[in-house]
Amino acid sequence: MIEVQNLRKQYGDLVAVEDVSFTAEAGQIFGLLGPNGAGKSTTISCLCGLLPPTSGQVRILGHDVVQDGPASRQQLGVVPQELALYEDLNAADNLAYWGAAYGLSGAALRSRVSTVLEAIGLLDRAKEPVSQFSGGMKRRLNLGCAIVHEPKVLLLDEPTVGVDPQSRVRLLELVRELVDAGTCVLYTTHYMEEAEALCDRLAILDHGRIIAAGTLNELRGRVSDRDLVRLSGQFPVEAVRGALEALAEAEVLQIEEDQLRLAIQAAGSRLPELFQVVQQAGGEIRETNVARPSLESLFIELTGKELRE
Amino acid sequence: MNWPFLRAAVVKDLRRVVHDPWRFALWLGIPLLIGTLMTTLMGGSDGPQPRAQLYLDDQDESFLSGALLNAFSNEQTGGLIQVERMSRAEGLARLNQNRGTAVLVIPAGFGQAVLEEEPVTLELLTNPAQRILPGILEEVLELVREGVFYVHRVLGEELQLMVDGPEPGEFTLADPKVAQIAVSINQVVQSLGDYLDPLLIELESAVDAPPTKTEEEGVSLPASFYMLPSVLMMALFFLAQGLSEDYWTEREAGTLRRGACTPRKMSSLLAGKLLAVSCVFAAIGVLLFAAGYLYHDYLPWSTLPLAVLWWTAGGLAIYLLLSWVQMLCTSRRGGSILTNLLMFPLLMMGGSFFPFEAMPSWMAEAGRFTPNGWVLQQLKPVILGRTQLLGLGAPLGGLFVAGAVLLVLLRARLRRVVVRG
Ligand SMILES: Nc1ncnc2c1ncn2[C@@H]1O[C@H](COP(=O)(O)OP(=O)(O)O)[C@@H](O)[C@H]1O
Ligand SMILES: [Mg+2]
Repeated sequence: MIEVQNLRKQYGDLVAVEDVSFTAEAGQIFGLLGPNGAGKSTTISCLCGLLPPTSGQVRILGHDVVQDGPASRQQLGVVPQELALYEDLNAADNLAYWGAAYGLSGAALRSRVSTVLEAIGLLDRAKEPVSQFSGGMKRRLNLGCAIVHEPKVLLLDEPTVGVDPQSRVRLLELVRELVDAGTCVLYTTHYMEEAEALCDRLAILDHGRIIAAGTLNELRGRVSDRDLVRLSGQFPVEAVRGALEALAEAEVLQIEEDQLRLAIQAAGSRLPELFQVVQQAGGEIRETNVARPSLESLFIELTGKELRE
Repeated sequence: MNWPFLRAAVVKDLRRVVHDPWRFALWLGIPLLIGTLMTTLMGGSDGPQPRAQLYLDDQDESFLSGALLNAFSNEQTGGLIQVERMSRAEGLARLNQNRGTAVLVIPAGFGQAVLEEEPVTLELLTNPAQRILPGILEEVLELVREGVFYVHRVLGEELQLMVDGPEPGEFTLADPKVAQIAVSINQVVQSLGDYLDPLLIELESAVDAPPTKTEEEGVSLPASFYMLPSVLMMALFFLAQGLSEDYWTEREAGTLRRGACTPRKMSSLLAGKLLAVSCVFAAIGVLLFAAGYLYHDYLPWSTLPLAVLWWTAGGLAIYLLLSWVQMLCTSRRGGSILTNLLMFPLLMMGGSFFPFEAMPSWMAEAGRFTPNGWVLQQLKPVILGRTQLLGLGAPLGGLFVAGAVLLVLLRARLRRVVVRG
């Protein structure tokens, strides 16, 4: 449904997306995971025909987005990262306009508008101007505007950023329902838990390149089954690094004066040993955190940094 | 063309206009107010006129207070107001003897305060024994105050320009560039200012003796008629400028980008906007023209539809021009300043502020070459019934070509804007 081959996008000298390839299937959520500035929005813009790719190919439902633009957009819904609504219109009018933009009209349009209003939980606020809505309501409407025409492919660019927990749950439920009904969804986020909870397949993006891709299980399998330990406190960097090298089956991922991260086999049973080594090297531990292998640990393993800034 | 979409697009934009009834009222009210005042000042009402006696104490004696004085002068007000200069105390003494209408005091520092945008108070003491005349004086003073405010709003802003920073490698008018243009337009306006005085004096002679041209044609029109098309053109400009700002609203709201993600082409999106804007122009036009025809009751009502049609077509062309200029800028602020700066010299030169009939002839000749001057020139005979639909064919064709060129420019611009976000 979505085919991306060797996509590259340059802004002047800055390469925002490089050599990105993936495919996404009907009835699946494909996650594009990466920190801010990784190139997620740029990729989405290339997919929906806003930006011409510098090179590479993008097809939506078999239509090339450059050569066959309008056809490739007919069955496509886009939820932009920034809100894109007419604040001076009410929710129903917003939905009706965007539905019409995709060729709906008359009774079919009216019925779709009320279905969507119901789905995004705004049926009782349908006649209020959008300018009076809360942030979460606007986010839901922002999604609603993209699904009035029942698109076969839906692109969501960080739809839950800055959304209250209630609206967030509702949004994610809605996405799941759409996928169950056979929609192909491309979902970008920088929230690990969201990607883990939602996505069937994933690509992790950093500095415009895909650094890992596969199903959730495949990716989990790539994280060695070591646990991730994070210590905070005070650490004399060189001494602690030297001492930890002697520790068996442990790998230092990051070490700073106030923070230490390592991957270690069966961390639970080896914490006393670890504490002893660090303290003997002059370190002072104030807080300990042990995490089971996750996408987060994969990202840290691959890039040496945390996803969230 | 997808007709249901076109209809939805028009309905969408009309709803958005109606959502803000205040804007609508302003578009209608400002020209009506200016028209009424100007016509009154030009002696539109029949019969002998009351004369107000204004005593002026200019404690400032700056260039600006001089300009203000001039605004009240005998020539400017068609003899409605007679000005005599004297001290505040002397003026008050006369008011107490029930002589004269009012005393106006221009405080020292007035000119400086206006330039620095500081609040400044003008003192107007009126004669309680006279009822109507002081009211007229107050209205004129209010008009002058509005004028100072408006000129300042337009020309003073570049001084406070916030700089967004230029965008490299693109033909775009970043704010510093707008500021530069502002300065040069400012210079043009200032040099035009030298001619504003003779221009205004001319206005008065137009009141006394109707222009010879109309006499040749065997019809005698009251001089106040010439204000009507000018005020209508002014209204057209304000309306076009106000509507052109919508591109910034759509750009900032992200709806322009969202529109570009749909299967609709930029041309369809633009077609919807143009149709909606035409409806707004036509609706406002009908109301303004009707008001004008009611006041000038010798005008043939049968010419109203064609006059509104021509006015709307001209308005669309100017709207397209201003919209394109808006989108050349990198910020809403820059766009607003540049369109205002473009609008003012065009209004002055193009007979949309002072009628051509009241201008020195060389200036009127030049003014007819401005876009609005050209539209105005065709408008007058249409109102008077001297041009019928057939005669308007060629000018309409001309407008169509100009509009098409501007439309292509605007479309290209919007496509770029959408990519850049
Ligand atoms: N219009 C633009 N012009 C120049 N650079 C841009 C533009 N849009 C994005 N970028 C740059 O491209 C990179 C990727 O941005 P983006 O795709 O928005 O990342 P993400 O959505 O993952 O946060 C960033 O370094 C960003 O600064
Ligand atoms: Mg983004």
